[in-house]
Amino acid sequence: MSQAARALGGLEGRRLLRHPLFLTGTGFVLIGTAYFVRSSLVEATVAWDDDAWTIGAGFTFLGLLAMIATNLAALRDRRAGAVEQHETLPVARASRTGGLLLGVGWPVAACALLFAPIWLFAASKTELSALDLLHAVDTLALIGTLGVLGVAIARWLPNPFLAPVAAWGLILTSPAEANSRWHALSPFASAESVDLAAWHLVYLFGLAICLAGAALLRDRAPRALVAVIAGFGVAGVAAGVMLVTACPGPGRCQI
Amino acid sequence: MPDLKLLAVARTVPWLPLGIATALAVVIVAWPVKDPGPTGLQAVAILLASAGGFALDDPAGSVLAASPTSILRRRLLRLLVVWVPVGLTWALALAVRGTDGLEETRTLTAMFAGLVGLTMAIAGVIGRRRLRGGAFVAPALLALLFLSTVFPPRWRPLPMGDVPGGLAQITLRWSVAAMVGAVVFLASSRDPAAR
Repeated sequence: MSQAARALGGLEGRRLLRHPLFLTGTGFVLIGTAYFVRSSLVEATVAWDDDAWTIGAGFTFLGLLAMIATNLAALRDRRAGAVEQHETLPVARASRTGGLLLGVGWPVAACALLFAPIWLFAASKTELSALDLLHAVDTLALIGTLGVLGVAIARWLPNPFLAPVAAWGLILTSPAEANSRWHALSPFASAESVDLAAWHLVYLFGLAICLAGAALLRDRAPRALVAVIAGFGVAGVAAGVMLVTACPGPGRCQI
Repeated sequence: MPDLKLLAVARTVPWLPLGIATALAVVIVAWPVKDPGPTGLQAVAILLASAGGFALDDPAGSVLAASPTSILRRRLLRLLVVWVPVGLTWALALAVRGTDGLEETRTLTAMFAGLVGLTMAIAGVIGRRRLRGGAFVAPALLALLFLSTVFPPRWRPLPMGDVPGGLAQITLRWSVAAMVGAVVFLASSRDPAAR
C-alpha cells in the first residue's frame, strides 16, 4: 500500500467513526448490551447463547450500517460531482480505493474496543466457551467484511441505492430456524461447533480479501487479480468444508 | 386543466433506483415459492419506498429555489411524477403475488403507505439541507425499522411481523406512521424564506 493510501486510510477511518450511520449502529449495540445487562441482573443464571443474542444482533445491525457508510464514503466524489476533478490528482484512484479499504479497519478496531468490556462483563456473569470466543471474533470479522463489501459495491455498481438493497438482501436471506444448504454460506451463519465456527471465520476472511481485490481490480491496481483469486480460493475451500460438514446429506443443515 | 409541466419534472428525476427496485420487485413476485407468505410483498414495499426516496433529489434545486413556485408545490409535483407509477407497480405486485384475503391486502397496503410516508418525511427533512439527500433515505429507513424491532411486539411502532391484536393492530400502526410521515413532510416543506 502506498503512503497516500495509508494517509487516506486514517482520514477515512476517522470519518467513518463519526458517520451518523456508524453512530446509530453503535446505539443498537448499546441497546443490545443493555438488554443483556438487564437479563443478568434479573435472572439467576444467564447463558451467552440464550441471553447475549441481543448484543450479536446489535453488532450485526452495526455491520450493515457500516457497509452503507463505507459505500456512501466511496461514492462521495460522485455525489459532489468531483470525479473528474479527482482524476487530475497526482494520487492514483487505486490509492484512494486502498485508503477506503484501510479505513474499514477503524470501525473494526472501534468495535473490538466496544466488545472488550462487554466480553469481560459477560465473563463475570457466565462461563464463556471457545465457541463463544470464536463467535465474538466472527462478529468483528463480519463488520470488516461488510465494510469492504460496501466499497466493492461502490466501485463496481456506483449507485447509492444498491448498498441498502444489499443490506436488505442479506437480512432476508439470513439463516432462520429451518435452513437450506445455501444458508451455510450466509455471512450471518452462526456455527454450532468450534470447527465450523473456525471455518466460517476463514470463509469471512477469504470473502473480505476477495472483495477488497475486486474493489481494487476496478482501478486496475497491481496484484488486485491475485487478491481476488486468493480470497476466492480461501473462501471457496472454507465454504466447501462448511457445506460438507454442516450438510452431510440432502435436506436441512446444522448451521 | 393547468399545465403542470410534468414531463419537464420527470426529466430531472433520478429514475435508476426506481428501475432497479422495479426489476427486483418483478424477480421477487415472479420467484416460485411453495407457500407465498407476506414476506415477498413486504420486501417489494420496502424496495419501492426506499427507491422513491430519491424523488426529491432535484439537480436544479438550487436554481429553482429562487423561483416564485413554492418548495411545497415543487416537491408535490415531483411526488406526483414518482409515486403514481410506484403506486401502480405496488398494486400490480399485490395483484400478481396475491394475498390471503382482503384484510391482509389492507394491512400490506397500510404498511406500504406507512413506508411511503416515512420515506417522504426523511427525504423532506434531509432535503432541506442537501440537494441530493436521496442516498441517505434508504439507510435512515433501514435504521428506523431496526429501531422498531428493539421494542417489544406490544409497543412496536413499525411491525413487520405479528403483534398482539393481529392484522388490525398492524394496519393501525402503519396508518399512524403514514400520517405522521405526511405531517413531517409538510412541515419540512415550509418555505425557508417565510416569516
